[in-house]
Amino acid sequence: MSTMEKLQQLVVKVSKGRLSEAVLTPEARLNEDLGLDSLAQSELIVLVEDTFAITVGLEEAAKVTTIGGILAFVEGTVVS
Amino acid sequence: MITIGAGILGTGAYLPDNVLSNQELAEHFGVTTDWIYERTGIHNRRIVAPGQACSDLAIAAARQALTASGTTPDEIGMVIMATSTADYRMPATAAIVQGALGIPAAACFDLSAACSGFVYGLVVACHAVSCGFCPKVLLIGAEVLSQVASPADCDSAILFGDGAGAVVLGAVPDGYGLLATDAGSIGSEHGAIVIPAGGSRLPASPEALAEQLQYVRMDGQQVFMFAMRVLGNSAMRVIQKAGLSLEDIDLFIPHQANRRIIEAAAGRLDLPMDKIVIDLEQCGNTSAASIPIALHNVLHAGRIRHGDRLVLTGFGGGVSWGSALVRWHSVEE
Repeated sequence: MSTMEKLQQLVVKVSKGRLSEAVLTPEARLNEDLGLDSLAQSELIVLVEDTFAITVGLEEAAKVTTIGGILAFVEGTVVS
Repeated sequence: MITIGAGILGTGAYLPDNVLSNQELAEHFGVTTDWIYERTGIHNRRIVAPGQACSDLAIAAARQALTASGTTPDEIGMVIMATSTADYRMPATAAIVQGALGIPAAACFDLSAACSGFVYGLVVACHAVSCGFCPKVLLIGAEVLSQVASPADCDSAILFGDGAGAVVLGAVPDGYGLLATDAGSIGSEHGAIVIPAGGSRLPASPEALAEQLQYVRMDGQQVFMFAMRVLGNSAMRVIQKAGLSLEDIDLFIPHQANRRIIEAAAGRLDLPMDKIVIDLEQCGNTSAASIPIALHNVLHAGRIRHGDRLVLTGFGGGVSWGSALVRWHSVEE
């Protein structure tokens, strides 16, 4: 499973199944497009950390506002 | 390692009469009732009447716990009061409770561990019984959080309520009572939840009051992420320490911080929601009081039977956490 597919699964889980993977494009904004409030975004950060065995600082988390942003952060962190 | 069984013999809970509803808060902050409920899982909070203090709530809950456990005041050798909103900075509110209940000479002290306070107190109390310090301990979690929630801070005001829960602890047969514990703190993150003024760092002053520093300040995102991680991790550790598995646990009673935190933590570890107590819709987050209030309510709802294994997990300011695995011993058995 690709990083993007894993990430999409996490977002679907956080949305309690409200969102389908089809709408989780790289451009999709977490709040404005996907309706994930600040608590849901916090939940997503913890799940991303667990899944990819990385640490996402609060400052880094605040900069990431789209699915593609998370993907780039994960891939950059995992590679580095 | 506990060598003599010590556990909970009886419970009590008290909530003040005044209700603070989502409707009132929604009008005050210009949000909707749905928005508040969606973010918290709370419909109403209970708020003290003017002049009502932390000890008043604690005494009412403690009387019930004494009665439920068949305990007379002279059997109590220690009174522990877990709270962040004591009557006074000195003396301990535990001593005020002792005096009001007619408990003779007893070791009375307040325990400051925020929302983890009740679990920390449970550990201290069980060890006091196990080592023979005293036959029974009165442990209370009580808070008047409405007095430290800023009327200008929506995030705090929609969460916090006032209340008290109490338990009496004493000897129970081997294999029952407190079986295992897990606790810790990350003091480097203490700024995540803090009441800045009123202590020796920043004494109460007109300047501090003008800046509203007597109210709780909370980094919501940091607290949410900490709580989501630690709730499940600590619960799993205490289960492992007891040599048990997830399937052996009958009920999880976490600190009633916020429904979203509890659900997120449970979802992260695939904990079964039907075994997790959520009891904050009508009373809000009562910090150190939330676990004993929830425990009292589920016990009286018939959800706890003799021999059941419970995991109680507190987490919050410090930042701190604590879990206790308890095998329930019904007094009737």
